Amino acid sequence: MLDERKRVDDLEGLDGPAIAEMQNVSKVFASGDGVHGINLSIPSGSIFGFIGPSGSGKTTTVRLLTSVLEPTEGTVRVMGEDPAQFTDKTRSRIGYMPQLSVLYPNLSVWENLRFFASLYGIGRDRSSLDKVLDLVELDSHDRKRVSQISGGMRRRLSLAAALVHDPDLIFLDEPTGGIDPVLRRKLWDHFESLRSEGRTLFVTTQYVGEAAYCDYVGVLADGKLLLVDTPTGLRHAAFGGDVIHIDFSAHPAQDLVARVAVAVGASQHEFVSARRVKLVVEEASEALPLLGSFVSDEKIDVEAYEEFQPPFDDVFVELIEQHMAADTDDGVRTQSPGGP
Amino acid sequence: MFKVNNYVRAWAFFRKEVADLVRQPKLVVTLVIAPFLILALFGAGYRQTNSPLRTIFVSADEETFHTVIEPRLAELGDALESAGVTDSRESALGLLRSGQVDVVVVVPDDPEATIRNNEQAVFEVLHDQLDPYERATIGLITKAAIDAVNRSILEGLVAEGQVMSDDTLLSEARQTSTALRVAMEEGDQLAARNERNRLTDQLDAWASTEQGGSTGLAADDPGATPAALRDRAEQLDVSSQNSSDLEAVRALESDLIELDDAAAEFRSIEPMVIVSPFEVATDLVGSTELSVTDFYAPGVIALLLQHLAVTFAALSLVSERSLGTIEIFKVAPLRATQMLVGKYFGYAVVAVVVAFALSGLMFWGFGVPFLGSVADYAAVLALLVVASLGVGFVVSSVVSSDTQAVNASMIMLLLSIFFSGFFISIDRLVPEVQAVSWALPITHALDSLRDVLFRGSGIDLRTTLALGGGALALFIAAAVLTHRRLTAD
Repeated sequence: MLDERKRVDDLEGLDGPAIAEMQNVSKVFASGDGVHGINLSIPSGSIFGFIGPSGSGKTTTVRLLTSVLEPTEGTVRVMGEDPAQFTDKTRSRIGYMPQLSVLYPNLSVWENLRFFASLYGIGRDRSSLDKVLDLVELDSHDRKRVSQISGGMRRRLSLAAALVHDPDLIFLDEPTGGIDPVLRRKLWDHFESLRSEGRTLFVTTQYVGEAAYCDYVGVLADGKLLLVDTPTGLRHAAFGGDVIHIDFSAHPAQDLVARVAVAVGASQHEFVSARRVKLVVEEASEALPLLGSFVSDEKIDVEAYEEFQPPFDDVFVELIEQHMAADTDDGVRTQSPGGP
Repeated sequence: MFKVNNYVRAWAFFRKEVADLVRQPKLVVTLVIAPFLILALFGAGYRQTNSPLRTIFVSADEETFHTVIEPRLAELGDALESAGVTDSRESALGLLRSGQVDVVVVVPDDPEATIRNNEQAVFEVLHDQLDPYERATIGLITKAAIDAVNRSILEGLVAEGQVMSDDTLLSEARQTSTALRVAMEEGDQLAARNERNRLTDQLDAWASTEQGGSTGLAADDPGATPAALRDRAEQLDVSSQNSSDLEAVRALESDLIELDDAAAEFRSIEPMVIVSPFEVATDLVGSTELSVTDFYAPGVIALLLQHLAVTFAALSLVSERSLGTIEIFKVAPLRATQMLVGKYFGYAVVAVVVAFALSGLMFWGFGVPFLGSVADYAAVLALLVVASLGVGFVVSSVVSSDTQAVNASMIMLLLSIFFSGFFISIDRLVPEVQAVSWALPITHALDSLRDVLFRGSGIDLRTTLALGGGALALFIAAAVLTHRRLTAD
């Protein structure tokens, strides 16, 4: 299990000038799918996570930022340039790992990596290839043909290909897909070390829990960017504040729970189980001392109380449900004026 | 630095393409071994002559068939094999339908009467061949058969004429005319009168004979017919010695000598020579005699090299797209020309190895003649490969799937088979269609390869310009189109 709280705390307050921006960017394909009205600013030297369900537009956004696609509307600037006009120098500062493993099956692991390194002008520098192969733990498989290695190893090799030229801005489209949790953790550690060296990473993922590793997270659904915030901010946004769980010794009366909620300034309260109650407060760090004093003063029989960190899966589901509910409300509203 | 990167990127593609191809042994087998086996099979199995046409004759008069027609068919050698004669057209057609014979020849009824009626007697030829070339072969062989029959009949008639022209009356008349002239010149009137009377009798007798009355060896001279000669002899005034009478007797003697000599000459010439005075003798100038395998060998190599170059290149960019690598190329600082140069060299090296292997098999395995220089031969193949790669890359930059790329290369192969001169000479095509031929790289290469191999010529300027210029134009077109692909959505 990821130590989400620690990471989020460590990263809070990190900020920097934007290395990439999107203003009112839309890309609409012939099918009508795409992304719509994206406004985004990626701080330099950060890990920017991009989370959304399959088909929500994550890959399209990455492609718009990397010059693979051109927007139908809006402006994209990456390192101060329009991606359609990227200079060779700018391109050489960008690393890109596509969603699918893009490798040559008849070539060996080493040959594939050497080929992609050559695209960035790396000729005979074997050390950079060794280093990145070591990072993705493929150094002992360098002679194997790609057709003979597993899907996870291919993802790792693709990641190595994106990193081999030591780029400043790295776009990783689901880099940890198909990779075991231990290696995923190692890769995130490496992403953090890259970030600490001043590099910027834009990472899409379907592992919602990985949002905790990011400095900023964008949540995407149906081609629309719902919000961008820090991981802590996302929790706030999802539940309306911090969550506190109180375990009573016995099933508490409704009026007692209501009094506790008022005492700590909770905006919501509800039973999670017969003896456990969930409170939503603005700031858990301020509410917890108040709660301690109140139960002591009122001699309420409480076994335990603590801040609850909802898993990011729950955060994500909550945000998507809110988005869908808002859409439904919009639909009702637009239909109302025409109704009987 | 930029130049180094150019080299590094192009070299990366070169190395990648070579390794990718070399590691597909089945591909190498289909590229080298399979075409070689096809060529070997074709060379071993191809017959330079047609199978004998199994022919049944329909004739109401079997005796005439056996005596007049059948003996003359032997002239055709193995081209026609007689399956006998029948008087039933239906049974002959039954044999044709069941595949027991190839042709039914219906001999005309009473051909002599038809001919005497100033009409040609028609041999009816029936077959069930759909193949236009086989139909043409049947037409040629049966025509040759009828020509043989006609010629044989004519030879017989000539031989008969020669026998008949052995005319002692004419020779005697010639001698008598000489004696008459001598008697008149000497003024011996009695002798002259006797000789003239004898001459008129002889000419009378000659004129009354079949050959004398009808042959008319000097028929183009009305005064030299037997009757006219007899009249001229009778009108001579043998008592006179004036010059006009002497001139007349000398002219008569001269005509008879000429007639007698002509008859002797006619008898001395073979009937076959008279009936077929002209024959054809062909000889190949500036080359060596070639077997069918020899002739087609350079075409097979050129066709194969063009096909593999077009296919490799046509699939190349499409494969990058389907694999997804094109997306990485779009992000990387890569130019279309760097990618193309690397791929060109990669595929060219593989094609050169294939060409070397096939050529070795062709020259050392099949003993195909090689009169020209290796440098010219290699230059033609190299230009062909580069131009063909250009075609393939242009195709690859406009198609959107593997299937489309393979179809395009197959269409190119079909065009090349039919229009390059591989099977049929492009001279048989109308000029407008020949433009298609000359738009194909293989047409130039094949023309030049045959000259280099079989005539010992060098690569000519036209081929160099056509293939070299075409290759350059195609490279530029491929670079522009590939650049668009790399920058488009």
